Amino acid sequence: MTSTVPPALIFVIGAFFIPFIKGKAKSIYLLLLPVIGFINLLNIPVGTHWVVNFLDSDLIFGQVDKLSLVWGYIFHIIAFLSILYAIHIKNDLEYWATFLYAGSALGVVFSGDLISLFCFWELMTIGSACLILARRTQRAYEAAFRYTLVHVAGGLILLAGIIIHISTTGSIEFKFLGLDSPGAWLIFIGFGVNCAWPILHAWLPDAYPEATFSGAVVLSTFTTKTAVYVLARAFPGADVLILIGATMTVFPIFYALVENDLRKVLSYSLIDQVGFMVVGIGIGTELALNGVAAHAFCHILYKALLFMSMGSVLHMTGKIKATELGGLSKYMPLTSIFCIVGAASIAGLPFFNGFISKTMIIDATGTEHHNFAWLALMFASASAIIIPGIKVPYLAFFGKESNVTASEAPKNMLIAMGITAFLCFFIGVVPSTLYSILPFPVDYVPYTVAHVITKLELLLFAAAACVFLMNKGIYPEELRKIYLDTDWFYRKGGMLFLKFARCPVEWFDKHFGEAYMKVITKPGLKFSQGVWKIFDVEIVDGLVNQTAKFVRDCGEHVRQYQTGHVRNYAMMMVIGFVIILYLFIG
Amino acid sequence: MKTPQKVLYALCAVLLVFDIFIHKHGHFGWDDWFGFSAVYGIISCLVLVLGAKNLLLPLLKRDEAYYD
Repeated sequence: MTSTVPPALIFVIGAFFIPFIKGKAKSIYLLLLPVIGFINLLNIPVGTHWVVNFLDSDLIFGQVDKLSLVWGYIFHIIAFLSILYAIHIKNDLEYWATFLYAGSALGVVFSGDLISLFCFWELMTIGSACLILARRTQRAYEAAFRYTLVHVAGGLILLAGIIIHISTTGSIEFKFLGLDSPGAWLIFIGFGVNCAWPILHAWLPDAYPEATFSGAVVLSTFTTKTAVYVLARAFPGADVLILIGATMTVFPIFYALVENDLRKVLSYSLIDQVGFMVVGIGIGTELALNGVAAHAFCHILYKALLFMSMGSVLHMTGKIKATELGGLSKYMPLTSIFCIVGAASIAGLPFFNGFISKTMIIDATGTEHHNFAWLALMFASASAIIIPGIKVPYLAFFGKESNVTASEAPKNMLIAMGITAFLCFFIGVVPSTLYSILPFPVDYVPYTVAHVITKLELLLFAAAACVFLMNKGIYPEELRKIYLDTDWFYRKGGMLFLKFARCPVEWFDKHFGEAYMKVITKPGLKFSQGVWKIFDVEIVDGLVNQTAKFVRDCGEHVRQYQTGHVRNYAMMMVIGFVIILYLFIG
Repeated sequence: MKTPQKVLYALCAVLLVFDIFIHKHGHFGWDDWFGFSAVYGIISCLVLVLGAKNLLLPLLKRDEAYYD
C-alpha cells in the first residue's frame, strides 16, 4: 500500500515532463508511463485509499473495488496501445493531452467522492479537446470549440446536481445515488451528456471524426466509457436507462448506414454499442452489470482497433471518405486484416470478443423479460454485421477501385493494431480471462450450441439480405453529403440566436474585455516583462526556450478558447466553488 | 454469382438445418420458434436499409458545405 500512488497521479504528473525529454528517451518514457501505471495498479489492494481531509469532508482518491478495477485495467492497456500507435508522430501536444485525458479518466474511475470526481471530469474535457485541436485545421478548431461548449454545459448541469445533492444529503460520497431527488437527476443528466444519450449525442459524431488520426483512437475510449462507469456505480437498475439505451442502440445505425466519412460511421456505431451498456445498467442485475463491465472492456478494444485501422488509412492516404477510397487491401494488407478482426469483433461473431460480452447483456435483458429492449438489442446486433461490420472494411479496402495508392502503415502502428487484434481474438476464444476480473462471480457460458447457432443465424442472414440488396441496387450508395443531426440546433440555431443577441453580448464583451485588459493583462505583462529581463540574464537559455516553445504551442491552440463563453464558464465555476465553500463552512 | 456470396448463402442454408436439431432456451417462447433468428436478421436488415434510404436520406441530406 505504501508503495503505490493514485493511478491518476502517474499519468497527470507524468504528462507535464513530456516536453522536457528528447529523442529516443522520450519514446521510452512515453511507453513506460502506462506500464509503470499498470504495475502500480496491480499492487493496489481492494479498499478505500488516499483519503484527504478537505474542509471537514473526505476526498477519496482511491475507491478501489472490482468494478473500478475493470475500467482501470483497460484504460491502462489502451493508453499503452494508443501511445505505441502514435509514437512516431512526435507531437508533444498530443502526447500531453493523451496522458492528461487518460489520467483524469482514471481519476474519475477511482474517485470516491463527488468533488474530486467533478474536478477530474472537467480535466477530461480539456485533455480530449486538445486531441481534436492537435489536428490543426480550421474545421478541427471549430469542432473542438463546439465539443468544449457541450461538455462545459454538461459539466455545469453535473455541478448543479452535485451542489444540490450535497446540500440536501450533507454527504459528498460517490456511491449508489438512485433517482429520487432533483440533485440526483441533474447528476444523472450530467453523466448522460458524456454518455452520448439520444439528442445529447451529437457532439460525438461531430467531434471525433475531426480529431487527429491517432487522437480519435484515444477519444473513442475514455469519455463515453467513463460515463458508463459512473452510471453503473450510481444508477444501476434505473428503469429509464433501459429506454434510453434501447434508443441508443437503434437510431445511430441509420446514420452510420448513409454516412460517407468512415470515422463518422465508427462514431455512430460507437453510440450504438454504448447503448448496450446503458441497457445493461438499467437492468441492473448481477449478470447485466457483469455484461456491462465485460462489454465496456471488449468494446474499448475493438473500437480502438477499428479507429486505428481507419486512422492508418487517413494517415497514409490523407483521405477518409468512402467515395474517395476503395481497393486499399493490396497496398495495406495487414491493416485490412486488422480492420476485419475489429469488424468481426463488433459484429459479435463467435471466437471474437464482441460475442462473449454482448450476449451477456442480451441474455440479461431476456431473463428479466424486457421484450422490447431485447428486440432492440437483437436488431442492433444484426445491424452490427452490416454497419460497420461489412461497410467499413468493404468500402476502404475492397469494393470499387479508387485511384488512391498507399503504402502499409509504419511498424509501430502495425504492432499496436496487431496486439489489439490479438486481444480481441484471445478474449473471444478464452473468455475466462475476462470473466475472472468482472465485478460479480460469473455463472455464464457463452459457447453453447444454441447460442452459437442462433447468433450466427441472425448475423449471416442479415449479411445475406444486405448482399442481396446490394446486388439489386437497393442499398443506397454513399454520397458526398452530410446528414443533419441534433447539433443543427446549436450550429444553425446558435447563429440565429447570435444575430439577435449580438448587441448586448458585444457590449458586454467589449467592456468586460477592456476591464480584463486593464486589471489583469497589462499589470501582468508589466510584471512579466520585468521578470523576463532578470530571467533572461540569469537562467540558462536552453531550458527557457524549450518551455517557451511548448507553452507557445499550447497557447496557440488555447487562444481559440479566449472567448466570452469560456470566460463566463470560468466565472460560473468560481461562483459554484464559492457556493460549495459556503455550504461547507456554513 | 461470385464465390463468397455462394458460400454465404450456403452457410445460411446449413444453419437452418442445424436450427431444426438444437434445443434452445429462449426467454419469451416465440424466440424458440424455428428460424426466428434468421427471419429477424432479414427483417432487421430490410428495416435498416429501407428506413435509412427512404426516411433519413431524403429528410436530412444536405450539401457538404451546409455549415460553412
